[in-house]
Amino acid sequence: MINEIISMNGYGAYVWSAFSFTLISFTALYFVTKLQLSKEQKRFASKFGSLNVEKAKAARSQNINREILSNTSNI
Amino acid sequence: MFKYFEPNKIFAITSKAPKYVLFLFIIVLTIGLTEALILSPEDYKQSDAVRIMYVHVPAAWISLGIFSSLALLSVGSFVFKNKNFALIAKSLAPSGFIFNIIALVTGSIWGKPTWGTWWAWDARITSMLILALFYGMYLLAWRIYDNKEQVIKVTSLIAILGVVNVPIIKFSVDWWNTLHQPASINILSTNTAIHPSMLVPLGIMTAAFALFSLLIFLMKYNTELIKVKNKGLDRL
Amino acid sequence: MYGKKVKLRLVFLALILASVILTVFLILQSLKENVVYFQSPSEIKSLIELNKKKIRVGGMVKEQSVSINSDEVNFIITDFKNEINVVYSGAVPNLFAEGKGVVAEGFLKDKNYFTATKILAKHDENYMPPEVKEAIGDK
Repeated sequence: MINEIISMNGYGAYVWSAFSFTLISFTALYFVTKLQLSKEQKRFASKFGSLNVEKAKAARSQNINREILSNTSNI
Repeated sequence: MFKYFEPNKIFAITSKAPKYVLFLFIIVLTIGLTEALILSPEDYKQSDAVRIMYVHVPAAWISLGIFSSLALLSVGSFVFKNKNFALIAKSLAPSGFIFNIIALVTGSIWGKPTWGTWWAWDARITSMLILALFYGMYLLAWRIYDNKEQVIKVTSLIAILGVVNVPIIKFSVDWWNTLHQPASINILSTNTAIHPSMLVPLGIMTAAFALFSLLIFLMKYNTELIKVKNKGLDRL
Repeated sequence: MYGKKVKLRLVFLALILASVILTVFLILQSLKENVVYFQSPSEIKSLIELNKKKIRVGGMVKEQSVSINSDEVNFIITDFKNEINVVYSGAVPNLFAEGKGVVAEGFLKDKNYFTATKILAKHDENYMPPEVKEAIGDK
C-alpha cells in the first residue's frame, strides 16, 4: 500500500516532485509575507512609542491605529 | 458606494481574518491532498501521472483569475482615482505570480512522462510564460517607483496591457495547433471531459489554492495598510 | 453622475486597450506559421516546395500502422484526410500508441516520408479511471 503510493506506478518521481514544489512554494511565500507583516507592525509600534503624549492621544482616537497595535505579534 | 470598503472600516476584519483562513486552508488542503494522492483513481491512459493535474490546473486557473482581477482593479483605480483599488491589486499580485510559476513548473514535470519533453514552445506554454513576465514586471514596478501617483499609473498600465494576453492563453489551444491538450472543463456547459471521481480532488484543490491566495492577500493587504497608517503618524 | 475627467480616463483606457488588441491580433495573424506548434499531413501535402528545415508534423497514429524492428519504429500519421509515413529510431514516450495523438519533429524526405528525430505524445482532454474506460468501450 505505502510502496504503491510512493512509486505511483513508476510516476512517483514526477508526481511527488510536482506536489513538493507546490507545497514548498506555499510555505516560502507564507513566511516571507508573514515576515514583512511583522516587520511593518514593529515599525509602527516603535514609532507610536516615540510619539509625545498629545500626539499619541490623537493617534489613539483612530480605531484603525488601536487595531494595529492590538494585533501586533498576532499571526 | 466604495466608501463601505474604506480601509479604516474593514481593517477590524482583515486584521483578524488571517488566522481563521490559515486554519481553514490547512484543513481543506489536507482533504484535497488525500483525495488527490491516495483516494482518487488513476487515469486509463496516463496512470498515476494524472495526479499532477490536481496541482497544475488549479494553479493555472487562479493565476489567470488573479491577473484578470489586477486589470479590473487597475481600471478602477485609474478611472476613479481610488487608491484602495491599487492597494488591493498590489496585495493580490504575489500569490498570483507564485501560482503562475507553480503552473509552469508542474506543467514541465507533467510534460516529461506524458508528452516526452520538459518544454515545448507551443502557444499555450509560451503565452503562460509571457503572463509570468507581466507578473514580474508588475511586481517590480511597485518596488521601483517611489512616487505614489506615478507607481499607480505604471502598474495599472502593465496590468491592463498584460490582460490582453489572458484570452490568448485561454483560447490558444483552440486557435492553433498546440502540443497542449484542449480544455476539459467548459463553464458554459455541464458536460466535462473529466470523470466525476477526478473532479472531486480537482475541486477541493482549487478551493484550497483559492484559500491560500486569500490568506496571502489578507496578510499583504494588512502590511500595506499599516505602511499607510505609519506615514499617517507623521502627519499628526 | 461621474465627473468629466472620469469619463475621459475611461475612454483613454478603452482606446489603449483597443489599439493593443488590434496590434497583437495583427502580429499573431502574420506570425501564424510560427505560432502553430505542428502541421497536419494535409498541410504538408499542400506545400509547394519541400523545406530542408526541421519541422513538426502532428496528427493521429493510424491504427495497425506501427511496426517496430530492432530500434527503428515505423508508423503513419493521419489526419483522416491525408497520411504521412514516419520513420524514427529511438525510444517512444509511454503514451505513444495507435489511435492516439502524436507530434513528430524532424525532416521531410518527400511529401510522403518523414524522418523523425524526436517523438512527442499528444494526449487529449479526457480523463477517466481504467474501469470506466472499459465500461464505455473502445470508442
